[in-house]
Amino acid sequence: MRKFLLRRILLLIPVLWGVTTLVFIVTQVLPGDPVDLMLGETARPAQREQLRKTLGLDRPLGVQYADYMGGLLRGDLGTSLHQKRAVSDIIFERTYASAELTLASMAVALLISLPLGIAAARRQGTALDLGAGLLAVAGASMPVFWLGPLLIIVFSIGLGWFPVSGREGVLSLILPAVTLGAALSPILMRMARSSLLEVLPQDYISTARAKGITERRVLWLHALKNACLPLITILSLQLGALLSGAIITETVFAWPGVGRLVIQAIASRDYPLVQGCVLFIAAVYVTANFLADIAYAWLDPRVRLT
Amino acid sequence: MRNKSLSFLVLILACSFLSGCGEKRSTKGDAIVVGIGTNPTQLDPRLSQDAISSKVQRFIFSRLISQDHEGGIVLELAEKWERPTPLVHRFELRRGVRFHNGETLTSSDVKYTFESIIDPSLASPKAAGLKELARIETPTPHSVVFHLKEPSASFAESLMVGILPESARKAGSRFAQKPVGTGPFEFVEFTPDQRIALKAFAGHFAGKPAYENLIFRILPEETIRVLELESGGVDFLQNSFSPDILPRFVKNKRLKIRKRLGTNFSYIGFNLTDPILSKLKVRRAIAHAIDRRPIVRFIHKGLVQEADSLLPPDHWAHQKGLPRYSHRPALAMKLLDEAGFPDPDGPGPRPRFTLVYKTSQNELGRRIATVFGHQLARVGIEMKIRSYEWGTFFGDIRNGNFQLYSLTWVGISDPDIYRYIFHSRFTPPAGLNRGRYKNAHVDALLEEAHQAADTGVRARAYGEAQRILGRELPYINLWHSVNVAVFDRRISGYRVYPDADFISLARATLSPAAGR
Repeated sequence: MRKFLLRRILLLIPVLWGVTTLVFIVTQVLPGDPVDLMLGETARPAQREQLRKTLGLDRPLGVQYADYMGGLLRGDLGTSLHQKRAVSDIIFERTYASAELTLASMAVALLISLPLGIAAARRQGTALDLGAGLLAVAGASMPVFWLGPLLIIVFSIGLGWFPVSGREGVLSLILPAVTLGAALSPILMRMARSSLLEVLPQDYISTARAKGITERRVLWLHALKNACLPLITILSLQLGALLSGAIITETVFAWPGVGRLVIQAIASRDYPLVQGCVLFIAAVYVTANFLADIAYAWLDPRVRLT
Repeated sequence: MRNKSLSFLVLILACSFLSGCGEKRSTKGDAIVVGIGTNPTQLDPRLSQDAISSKVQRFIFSRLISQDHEGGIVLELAEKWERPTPLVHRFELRRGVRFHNGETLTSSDVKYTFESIIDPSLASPKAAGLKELARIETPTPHSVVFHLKEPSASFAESLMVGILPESARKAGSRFAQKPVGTGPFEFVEFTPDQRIALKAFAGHFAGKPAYENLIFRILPEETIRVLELESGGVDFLQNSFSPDILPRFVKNKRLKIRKRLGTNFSYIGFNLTDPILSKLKVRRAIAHAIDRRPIVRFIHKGLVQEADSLLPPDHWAHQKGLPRYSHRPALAMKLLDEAGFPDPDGPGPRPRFTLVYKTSQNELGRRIATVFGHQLARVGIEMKIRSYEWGTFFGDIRNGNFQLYSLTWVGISDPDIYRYIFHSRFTPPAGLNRGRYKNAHVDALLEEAHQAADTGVRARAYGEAQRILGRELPYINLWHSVNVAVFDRRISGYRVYPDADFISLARATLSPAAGR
């Protein structure tokens, strides 16, 4: 296990270095100049040069790159060109909001998808299975930019149960979480159903039943544990995607997450912030996959972490 | 089963806990909540150039002089303003004005504010407007004198900057995180992408505002801004909704609507170095091929007024009787024939030539571009629409990498803007002459107007320049926007400003909530 952890951590270094270098190159070739966007068009050339110098953009690219990498090694992601604050502080503030939304939407997705997926698998070919399938198709067909406003109109404007938007207390979390959770549920539900259908006819399930174990225990403890492996893969990928920003949902609900931050940073050509955000996103994905690997071993002893 | 249920419970409790630590909804009883679409980029008035920043800063910072609801210049922190010579502006400051931190306003604060703007290390976008400034003197704690290197009629506009306390020097770049001014509201907090909270300043020189809190909520999605206004989550929106929404607001008895012609000006810009568009007859043909009326009626729903100049018709420097290019497709085709671009196959599909029209990703702008493309196709011009993300679009326009584009000038007040846009010296990167227009006579007229102190002389020079530009068509003038404010009936005394400033909210009153 220790060897596995060490190997994964060591692998993290070239991945993050590659991502960082790629993003550094991409931000340099992006059309649009942060100096133009900051100073406007009436600035004099001398003033532009001065700002370029102040921001360190006048130095050769190699020097800028070395400086940036040196900062990273010291744990310094740089300073936002526009906000004049540490990039790490800005990302950290947003991570909190993104984590709330991610956890809540995953909880919603699991609450919807697991019971439905299990029920559909157990009653394969029945009306319930068909209904669950239709629900999955409906869920997958509803884009969040449509479902979000629909939920707002019904539950905020019509019934007045939740705030329309913003991040102000527990109630404001419900609608964005349901919107995102509903989008995530169909694939989880279908995956839970098909995995269970594979597991349920296996010998160890029959043996468990023959031992007199209750059907509920057979299902939830014996069958679901093995059927969970593909779900873990999807959840780990979604965890990365959601933590790094559910941009449309964040925009619809005015939720101050990482997704909106990335978009704003790109729009304003705030290079250090763009680089910091992408590095953060890469780290989130790598960590989520790492956690998924550990979860595999925990759920299935046949998987060896070497 | 028990374990799973427990896991879910823990997850939900964790979410609830996390969310519970978030912002709490503000008390609405004594607050006006304004919905805005984007974050202000800067709360330091020396460093911002976007409209939202400026609108929010107006509540925190007062200026020496400012504009009233008619666009006229009024004294704010100054109680007296003299111009003994064209090179000297002398101001006497109001006595007893206090900053939010308790410090008293003196001439040193004014001097510090403007000197820091022209200090290259600050990299202020406002420095260019003060390039005629030679030095600032502060003979007494309440008088400040600006000496210019050369006469500049537009210098007064450059003085409309919020005044900072000299103690801001110590705060450095941290000042913008907790800005201190002399405005009617004090800064409380700014949570990016969520809200900016201000509270009434009891020590304001014009008296404390009539309500306690002013909140700006950042709502990027138009639908959500509209729903928030209708549900009472925000009390005030101005111009941040599409014209299609207005009839919905009209029916809502809880809302008031106020309109007035604004100073935002939309246009189509030509690249005059382009071999096709450098021909005047082609530009005139395009102007005659475009029909603005259906766009005004069906897309803008009447919330714009057709323009014949950058300046709105009630502006003191607006020239009457400027050429108006009415919709005459037959004339447009004749002009294109004369310009050497005959239609290759008559009513057939082949165009005379193809132009690329660049625009931002603004949905309204793209819809309008589609209509333009259709109108130009009728006279045999193929127009390809290219829609770009703002940074790319802006970069292309500045670099002259375009044939046609459309943009809006926001908040035009001083006609000196003509010099920045059409003087040959102000070609990017030195200015705003994006189309690379060159006319020595226009250059001379704009220089004369810039240096003249007499309004009559300026008006004559700008009038002549407008006539020439109307003939030579470096721009197609499209329309001036109408500013529309929609707000809760509880708010009284709000006046819509031509530049869509929100500042009159500072003097508005708020009646007690009924049924809220």
